[in-house]
Amino acid sequence: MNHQVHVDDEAALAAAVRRAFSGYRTDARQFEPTPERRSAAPRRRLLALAAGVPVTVTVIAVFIMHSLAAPPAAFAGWTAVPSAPDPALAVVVEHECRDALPDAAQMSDERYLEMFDEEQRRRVEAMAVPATLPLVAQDRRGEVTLAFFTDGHTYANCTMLGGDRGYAAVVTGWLNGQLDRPLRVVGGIRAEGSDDVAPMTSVIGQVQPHVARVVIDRSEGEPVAATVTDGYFLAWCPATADIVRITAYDEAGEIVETN
Amino acid sequence: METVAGFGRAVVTEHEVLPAVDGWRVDFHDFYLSTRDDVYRTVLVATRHPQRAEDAVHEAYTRALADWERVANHPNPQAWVARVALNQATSWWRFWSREVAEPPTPVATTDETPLDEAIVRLVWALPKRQRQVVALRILLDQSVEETGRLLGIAPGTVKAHLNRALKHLRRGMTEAGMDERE
Repeated sequence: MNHQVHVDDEAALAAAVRRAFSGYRTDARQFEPTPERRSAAPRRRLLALAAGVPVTVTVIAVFIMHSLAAPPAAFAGWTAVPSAPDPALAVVVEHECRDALPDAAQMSDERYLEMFDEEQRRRVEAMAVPATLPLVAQDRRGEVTLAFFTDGHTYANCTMLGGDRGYAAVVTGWLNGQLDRPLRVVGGIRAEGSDDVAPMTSVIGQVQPHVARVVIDRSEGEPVAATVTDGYFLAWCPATADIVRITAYDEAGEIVETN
Repeated sequence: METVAGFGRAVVTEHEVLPAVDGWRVDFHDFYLSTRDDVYRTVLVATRHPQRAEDAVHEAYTRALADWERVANHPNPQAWVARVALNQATSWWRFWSREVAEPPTPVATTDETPLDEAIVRLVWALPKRQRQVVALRILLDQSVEETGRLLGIAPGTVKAHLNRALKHLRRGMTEAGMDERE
C-alpha cells in the first residue's frame, strides 16, 4: 500500500486520479429506446434580479467570488468608454454565456420560496429559458465583457472575463412591461469582491429609441459611457465608487432623462 | 436475466448477456457495460451532482440504444454518449437542483483509500471548467481536441485548464504530505 504519488509525474498523477474515482459506479438501469417524457417535470426556475433586491445581489456576489480564481488585476484594463466590438471575442462570449446561463437557475426550494412572493413566482414560472434568449448587446472594457440577452420580456446578463478564465456571473430577470419614459434601469449587480475578485458594479436598462447616449456618474472617478444598442443600455465598472446618476441624451446632446 | 417484451426494450445488468435476437443489442450491451462507469464518473465530476449524473447517463445510453446503428458507427461512441449525458445533465430543467458540496461515498474502495479520498476531494473542489477538463481528459481519456469539441473550447484552452487543475492537485497533495518525493 502506498499513500503517496510522485506529483511531478503527470502520468502517475492522472493514474492516481483514475484510481481515486474507480469506486464510483452507476447502477444498471432499464432502457427504453423511445424515452417517455416525465409526467411531473420540475418547474422552471430562474434566479431573478429585480433592481434593488438586496438578497439577490448577495447571491450573485457570492456566485462571482466562487466562480473565479483569478486575481483582481483583471479589471486593470477597464476604460470609461467601452472598447470597440471584437467579433471573434463576441462569439466566444456568447458561447460561454449561453453555456453558463442555466447556472443562474440553481436554487433550493427553500431559497426559491424565501426570495419570491406568489406574484413573483408566477412571473418566474412564465419566463423564457435563458439559454434561448437572443443576444442583444455586449459591453467590453478591458478583459471583462458584459453580455445582455433578452426577448423583450425575459432578460439575462452575463459578466465574463476574457481569455480562458471563464464566466463570472449570470443574472436573469424580467422586464416590466412597456417603457413609458426615456430611460429605465432594469438591473445589474454589485459584487463586493474577494481576495480573488475585485469589486464590480454593472447596470443594465431600457431606453426609448430617441436616446443616443447614456452616461453613468459615480461618486468618484470619471463618468462612464454605457453601450447603447437596440433600446437597451449596459455598462460595468470597478465598484470603487457608488453610482449617483444615470443620464440619457438624445442625438443633439440634449438631456432627455436623469435617473 | 430478464428481457422485457416490446421493441428494443431490455434489462441490462452487470452479469448477464442479452440474447442475440438482434445483433446490435449485444453490441450495445457490451458497449454499455464497458463504458458506463467511465461516463458516469465523467458526468459526476463535471456536474458534482450524483443523481443528476445518474439520470443523465441513463438517458444518454437510452438515446444511444434508440439510435444504436448510427451511434455504433460513430468514430467515438463513448464521446457521443458523454456529450449527450453532459448536455442532459446541464439541460435547463435540471438546474433547479443544487450541486453537492461534498463528494459522495464511492460504492467500492481500494487499498489506497486515504490517498483516493484526498484526490477526490481535491478534484471535487476544482472550478467547473477545470473539473470538466479533468473529467474528459483523465477519467474518459479523451484527446485534447475531442475534449475541446465536447466543451466547445479551443484545444489551447483545454491544455491551460488541465495544467491549472494539475497544478492545484499537486499543491494540494504536497500540502497533504502525499507527494512521494518528500
